[in-house]
Amino acid sequence: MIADSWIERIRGLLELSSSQKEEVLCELSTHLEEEVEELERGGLSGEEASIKVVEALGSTEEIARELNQVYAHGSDKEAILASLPYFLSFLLFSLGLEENMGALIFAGGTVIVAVLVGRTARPPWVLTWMGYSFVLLFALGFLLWDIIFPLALAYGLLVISLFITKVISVVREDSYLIPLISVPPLIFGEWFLEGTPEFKPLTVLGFLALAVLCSIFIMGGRRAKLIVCLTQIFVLSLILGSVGTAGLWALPAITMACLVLREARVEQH
Amino acid sequence: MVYSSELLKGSVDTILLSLIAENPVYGYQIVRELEKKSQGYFVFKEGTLYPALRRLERKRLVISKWEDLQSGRKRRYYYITDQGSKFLKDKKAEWQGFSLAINLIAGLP
Repeated sequence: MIADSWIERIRGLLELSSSQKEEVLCELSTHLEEEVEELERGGLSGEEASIKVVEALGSTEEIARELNQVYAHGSDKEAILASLPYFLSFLLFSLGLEENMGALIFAGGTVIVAVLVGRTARPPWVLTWMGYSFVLLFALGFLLWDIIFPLALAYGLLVISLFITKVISVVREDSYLIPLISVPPLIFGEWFLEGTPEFKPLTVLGFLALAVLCSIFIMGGRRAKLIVCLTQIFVLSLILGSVGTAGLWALPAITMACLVLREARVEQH
Repeated sequence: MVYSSELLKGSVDTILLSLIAENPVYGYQIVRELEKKSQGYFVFKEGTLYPALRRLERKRLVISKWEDLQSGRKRRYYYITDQGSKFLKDKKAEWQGFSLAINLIAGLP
């Protein structure tokens, strides 16, 4: 009972994704149970042993604070991997290669990385690649649109439902990560809806800004993530504003909803 | 004997890596081994071990693998990486030089 409430206190204080949280709690529970068993073998009652072990483990606040700090900051390698698709987009558009074979290879590459990495583990950086993969899936739908309309409609609905399912799973995992997967389809979805207009210099620079913001997002702590989310709204508004207007309303709404969801979840604990 | 918590903080990585380098170990085992090997000298809040292990994992100095036990529990075992072994070797050499210099200055044997 004492041990259980200690674990539950930690659970309430951890600001981690659900899988990270379960791993941490599983490790702490095993430690706690094994130490209690050892003390019981030494002659202590279950309650006495639990009290002793909980004391030895220490303050739940201190452990949770340190764990939150460790998990909040991604490595520089993760930051580079997360921002790489944005940086490659910047290169493609600034070099005018967006309708070239290079763009197709890049798009195919994002799908391969997303499937290979996302299937086994799911580090946060792969979400950007997943977002780009959905761009390719949506693009195929737009190509079909002109050829076989009913098939394109069915395909479009399938991809949208797949995207929504993925976004929901990310919300369950950690709603802070939503911008990583949702921003690429928002930019390019707007681009397709507007009939692939030419990207303006401001938009191209926007990709560079997003690459930088993405790195800060991965490497930064909780406060940095909040600031980056808000800055992303501004940058994306500029990008979408320079391409068209339809996406302008969607982005702030989605990003703000993510932040609210996240905050609500933390407060709930 | 009382030691400064700052001194321990600066040596946590080396202490943990030294234990993990010998054999793959799990959290509770590390606590016991540390107590045994330091002959009870190092006393710390056991829960703070886990953030330290996560930091080592983030730095790629160790990796961890889950193992299912017959009791139905799961244990996370820690293994030292090549990078971790190199880091430990450097840290040991650094410590050897440092402690030798301190002993010379302080006139200790």
